[in-house]
Amino acid sequence: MSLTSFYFLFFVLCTVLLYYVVPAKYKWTVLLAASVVFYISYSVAGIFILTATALITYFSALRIEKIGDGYQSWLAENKQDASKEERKARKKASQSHQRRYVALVVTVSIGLLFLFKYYGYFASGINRAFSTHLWTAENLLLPLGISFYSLQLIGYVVDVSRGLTKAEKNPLKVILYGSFFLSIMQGPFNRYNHLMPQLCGEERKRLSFYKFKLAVLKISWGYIKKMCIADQIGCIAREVFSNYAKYSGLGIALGMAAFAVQLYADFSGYMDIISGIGELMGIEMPQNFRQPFFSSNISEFWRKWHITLGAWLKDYIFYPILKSKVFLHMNKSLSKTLGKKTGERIPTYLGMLILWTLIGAWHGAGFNYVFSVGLLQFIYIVLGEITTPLTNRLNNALRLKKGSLPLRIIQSVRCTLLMMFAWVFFNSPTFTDGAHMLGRLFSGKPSLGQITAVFNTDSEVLTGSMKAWLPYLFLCVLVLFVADLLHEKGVFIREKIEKKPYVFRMLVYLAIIFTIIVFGAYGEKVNVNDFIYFDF
Amino acid sequence: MKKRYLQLTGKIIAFILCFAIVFLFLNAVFSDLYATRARCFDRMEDNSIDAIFLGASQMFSGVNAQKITEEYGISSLDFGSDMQPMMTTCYYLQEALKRQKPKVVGVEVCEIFNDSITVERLVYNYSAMPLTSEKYNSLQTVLDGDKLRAVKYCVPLIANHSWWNQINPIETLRDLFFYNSAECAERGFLYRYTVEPQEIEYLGEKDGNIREIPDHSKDAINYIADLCRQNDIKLVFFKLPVARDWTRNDSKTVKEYMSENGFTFFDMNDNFGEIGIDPETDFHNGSHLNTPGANKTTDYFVQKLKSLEVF
Repeated sequence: MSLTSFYFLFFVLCTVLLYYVVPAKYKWTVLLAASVVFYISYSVAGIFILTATALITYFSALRIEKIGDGYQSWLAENKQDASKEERKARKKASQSHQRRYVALVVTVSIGLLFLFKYYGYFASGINRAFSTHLWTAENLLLPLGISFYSLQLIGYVVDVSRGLTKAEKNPLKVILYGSFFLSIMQGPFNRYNHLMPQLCGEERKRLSFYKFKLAVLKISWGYIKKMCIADQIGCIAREVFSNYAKYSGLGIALGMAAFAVQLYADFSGYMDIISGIGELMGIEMPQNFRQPFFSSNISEFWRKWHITLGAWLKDYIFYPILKSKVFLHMNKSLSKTLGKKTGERIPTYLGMLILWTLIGAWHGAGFNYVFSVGLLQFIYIVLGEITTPLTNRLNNALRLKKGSLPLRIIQSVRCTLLMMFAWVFFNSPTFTDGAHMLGRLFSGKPSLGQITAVFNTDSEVLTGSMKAWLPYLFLCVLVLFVADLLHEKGVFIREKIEKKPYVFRMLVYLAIIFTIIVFGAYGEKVNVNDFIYFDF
Repeated sequence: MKKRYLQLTGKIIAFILCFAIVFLFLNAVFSDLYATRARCFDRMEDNSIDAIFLGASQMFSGVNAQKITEEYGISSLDFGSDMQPMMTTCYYLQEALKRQKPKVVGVEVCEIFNDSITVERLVYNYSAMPLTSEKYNSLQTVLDGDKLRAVKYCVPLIANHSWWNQINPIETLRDLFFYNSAECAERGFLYRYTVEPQEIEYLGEKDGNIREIPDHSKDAINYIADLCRQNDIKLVFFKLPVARDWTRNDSKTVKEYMSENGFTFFDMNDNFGEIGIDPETDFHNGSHLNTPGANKTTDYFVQKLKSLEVF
């Protein structure tokens, strides 16, 4: 059930209607049923894997809570009698016991994730290197959303062990948390504490006509981004990336720019659609994008791009690593020998290296992923930090004040170019292809002919003339830019539209409808793409 | 309260009206994408055509209806569309007979062996045609009863929207608002003067593979014949000269079928010499004659029809 199909719209309509019909106490059952139906529409076998993982998580969380409660009640009873050492020993034993259950959930979730997502890649590599005949899992289909729900469930069980969340008593609610249809495909990563009170809360929800209109506008904007921008501009990107050997210089640059537009419109469009659907049911989904291309450096970019993934990995991997005994010890000993500043930096960079490698690997099995959205990002960030004094001096020499518009434009363009460079590897089938494509970028003398070549092919992907495509590409960039600029300035576009007179609103609604009808990528002629992040 | 309801009703009506206006405008824009041949038919006066020629692009590249009208005094029209299957030719004849009473109908058979319906074919053949029950029925037949797709291809805006990048706004607006019947002087014929020298496959050593005429083409031929009989129209099937995709075995198969069923058919590929076709100068490409080639063919075609007492 593709998000861009009529079936999905019908499915959402039925779910929303049922959601408001059913008494508040049982609303979560509608969401559970909808999530299961949605999941089954993609994969029947996958639902069993999800359910099994969720049930193991459920029992583990209960056990963890029970162990914690046991320790607390022992402490309450023996506060006076027990010695400090005894209390410490009890606490340690209790934590160690809890950790065993956390480890169980991590092992099961990561084990399944490894089996389905990475095992085949490694097994093929071993077979190639050592001429072995290991099973390469070619007949295993990646269960829908496994990269998302595995991490979410781990997060939940860790939160229970940290005492941040109460263990859920109803197993079906844990299944709902793992399978919630609005976030199962591409996120965002929901925290249990944020999502579940909204899904299972018993307050009566009402949908005003005003809120309904705001939600529909958000959904429509998401569909425009996906169908009219991402899928259309994606034709240019696909043509260049699939046949990069035919193109050079500006032709390759055009493909890189087109992919940047496609990726952003595709992913953020999806987020707008599901966030709008959430609003229809009074569910607030966490924000996953915040105008990333207006970032001044790569660190900031990643705080604004796929926000929930970065936040999850920081909370559950990066900070625990830095707080681990090994790292604290390393910090201490390095501070003694190399000085405090360097001594603190090295473990932090090491932690960042682990974090970025995991972010890269999370995106897919392949060195191109680990490099493009992992190691390369780490290099960008570290180089950015190291060269900060130098760039500050350069800015001063050029009289570019901190926060001034020219400097912000330069930083934003720099950031965008660096990401476009990284995404070449991200969107190439292999690292070698990415490297070759970048080689083509610097070949040939820059000329308009390099761009026209992209449109003068017999490609089935890219039909139509350059006269139509280039203005359309510029228009798409302009629309995305203006929308992001207004958001950056704190303008709530939807609210602004709804406050305008009826004639204006009617023109906006008509423009939205006909933009989707005319420019939307749908129908038999179009090879409709699923969302890019769907594969992860 | 009453005022509020009136306001709401007004808003809804205004929205629906605006939606309908924009929809119809855009629908016209997208039907115009492949409208050239059909638009000419639209602008013909009722009951003004004596001979209608039906078929795919080979027909309107090879039979110069303007020449027949002006030089031979027989009011003619080429009424076809690119890659038109025989099933769709039936529908074109149905539409033609709604407004015209021709004495002669000629059907070019280059697509008689074709068994595939592509999106392009549907778009080329149906976009420009008016929304009628015949259009829907024909689409349903062509699409093996798929009603949803038939509805979709009845609405050019939905069916053709993927071609948005091929719309020339200036040409489209000119065609929509400033097109007049004077521009229809070519009577559906496509003038092309480019030259591409060819080797004629039909005159080569090989007879080619033996192909069978699909049942839907046979049904279409029978339907066209019935329709002509009912309307007292003389019917002739013909094949224009081409350089490729037509072999002696194809010709033999069609001749046998036509003969068995009592239909008039002649293949002009048998008469390259008589027509005076020069493979070096008379082709636009392997499948289509250019205008000089078409003019020679048209002269021969008219003489042939006269000899068959069709004219």
